[in-house]
Amino acid sequence: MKQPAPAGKLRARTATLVSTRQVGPNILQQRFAEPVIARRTQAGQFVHLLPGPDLLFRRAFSVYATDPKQGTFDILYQVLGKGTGALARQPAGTAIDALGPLGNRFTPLPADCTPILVAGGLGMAPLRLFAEELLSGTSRRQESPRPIMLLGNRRKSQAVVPFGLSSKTLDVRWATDDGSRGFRGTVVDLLSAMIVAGDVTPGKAHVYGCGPEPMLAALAVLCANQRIPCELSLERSMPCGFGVCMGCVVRGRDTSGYETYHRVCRDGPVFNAASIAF
Amino acid sequence: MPKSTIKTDLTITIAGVEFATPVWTASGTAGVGEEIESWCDPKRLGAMVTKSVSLQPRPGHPYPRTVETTGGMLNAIGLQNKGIEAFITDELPRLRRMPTRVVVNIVGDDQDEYVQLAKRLSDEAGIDLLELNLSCPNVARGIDQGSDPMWVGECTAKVRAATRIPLIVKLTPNTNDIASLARAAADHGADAISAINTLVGMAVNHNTFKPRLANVTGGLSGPAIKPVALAAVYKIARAVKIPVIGIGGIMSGTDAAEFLLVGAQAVQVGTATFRHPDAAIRVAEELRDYMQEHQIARVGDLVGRLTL
Ligand SMILES: Cc1cc2nc3c(=O)[nH]c(=O)nc-3n(C[C@H](O)[C@H](O)[C@H](O)COP(=O)(O)OP(=O)(O)OC[C@H]3O[C@@H](n4cnc5c(N)ncnc54)[C@H](O)[C@@H]3O)c2cc1C
Ligand SMILES: Cc1cc2nc3c(=O)[nH]c(=O)nc-3n(C[C@H](O)[C@H](O)[C@H](O)COP(=O)(O)O)c2cc1C
Ligand code: FES
Repeated sequence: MKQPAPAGKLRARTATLVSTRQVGPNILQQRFAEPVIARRTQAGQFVHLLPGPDLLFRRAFSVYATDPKQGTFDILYQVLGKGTGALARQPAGTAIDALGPLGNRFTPLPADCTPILVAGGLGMAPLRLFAEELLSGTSRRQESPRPIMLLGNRRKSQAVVPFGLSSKTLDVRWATDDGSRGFRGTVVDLLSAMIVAGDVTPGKAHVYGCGPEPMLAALAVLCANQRIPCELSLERSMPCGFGVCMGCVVRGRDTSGYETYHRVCRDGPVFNAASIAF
Repeated sequence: MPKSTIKTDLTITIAGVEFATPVWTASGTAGVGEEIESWCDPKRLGAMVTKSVSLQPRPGHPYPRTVETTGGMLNAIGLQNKGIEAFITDELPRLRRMPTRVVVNIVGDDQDEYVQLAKRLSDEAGIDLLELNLSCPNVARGIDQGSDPMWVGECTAKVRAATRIPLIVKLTPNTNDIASLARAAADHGADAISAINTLVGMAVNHNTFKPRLANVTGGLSGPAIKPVALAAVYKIARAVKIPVIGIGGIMSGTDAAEFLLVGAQAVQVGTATFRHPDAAIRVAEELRDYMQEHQIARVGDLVGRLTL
């Protein structure tokens, strides 16, 4: 359990929009200057941004990259509706009200395990930051096996290349539903094929997943059957983002196995797959 | 001409309890204290009002539980809470230590449950007021008991007899005569009235043909309901002599001032807290600025000052 911060110690911060880059169809990478978020964020955590003064609620985004030296952090998102639309239109220099970093992080794993990062679409965002942590040794020892990253998309045109990672240190494999890039099928099918082919040894692997819920549910089943420890990062509509509204829930089990609703914003967004009832 | 700076006093007294400011959190929008405490200095909150607590634990409704609507939101949380015993062991010790007033909001399925909750909490120190959430439809009996003045009067009387902790009765706006609900509560021993709870509403996804909330209907809150809430508080304040606590769509200090003008002695900030965790403190500071601007020294001097 996370200890709550001392009274009045957390506060909203002003993140200044530095740049907006289109990296795919309707997909943007935005960089913000805010040194505290840049320094404190750990892989899996998110920021809750107020996209503009006319919006009632904030929008949640996983932190995609950080540069603690420059004091910046990046997000990667698809322009969908009012909130993301407003954020997309903001010019560089705009001050954005930001809460963060919020939520928990992916758990670093034992040194002899191969981390397998399984991303569906933009679920890649928090996993990219985790890959970077793994590669830089902050989440694991340097001599550990090379991390594997599986990236799934519908088709090639939607595939976003993870920003700033080197394929020398990271084993990146692609999957598309139509086979236009890499393996034909879902990322979960790809992982399954890799297990069958002996590329992955279940007892020596740790899976981390983020993406659409049906994909995560399939991933949870595969990992449970293969007895591979698995952590998943979930998404919910989040009115508050800091645990007070009880809106962002997912059905799951508590430590004694009883059914309960977890708050994704505060008990997660990263959960042990076994504690979620899909 | 520049106005002179005056000393402003935000303290108010309700049921013999003094509050540092008339701006409190609203039930269900500030958790049970733990989360909000990291974002707000509790000393600057008028009071911390807890999420409704029931006799037995309640799992709550399935997801989706909230949807954003024009100028507000719908929620159908389903009163998820761990039940009174877990509340007393896990939450109350910390609440008690919080340097602010503590209002525990209770909810029951029937009058007896409210009585049991009040009795159980009477054994505990550190609770400044109880707020009875009488605004929840009793699904089992198929009627909205909280909109029946007789039922409200009876329930208030029974709880009154069961505890010495001052009582706030929180009313539903889903009625055609909120003033008689308030009168019923006042006549049967309530120390204050709070209003309003959420308005029944619904949102539909026209592409999937499905309701947007798993529970189909939910409660509307946020700026969209402020006019309804102001009218309710105005009517209640004219109908009863006990203090009224205004709730509904308060986002700013001037919103709070409007509630005081129509007769509220204090206000609660709900949905705004989701946008800014320290919304209640911001509202209080803005209220102070407003008083400065209008050269009003004591916040009590604003109460009921509406000029017709
Ligand atoms: C912890 C977390 C991390 C996220 N990380 C990313 C990310 O890295 N990249 C990315 O593209 N998106 C991410 N999302 C989803 C993103 O928050 C939504 O796409 C965004 O809120 C949509 O807002 P909108 O106003 O443009 O869309 P609208 O459809 O207009 O939104 C209407 C309402 O629905 C909510 N909503 C709609 N879709 C979602 C969704 N999928 N998840 C949560 N809330 C939703 C919005 O918050 C808003 O209240 C994340 C969500 C969460 C909870
Ligand atoms: C998510 C949510 C949960 C709520 N839960 C409760 C509750 O448990 N008990 C209660 O008496 N009121 C509850 N309310 C109602 C609020 O306390 C308040 O009366 C209402 O939201 C109107 O105020 P607002 O517009 O400032 O939010 C809840 C409101 C929201 C938005
Ligand atoms: S978003 Fe409010 S509790 Fe998680």
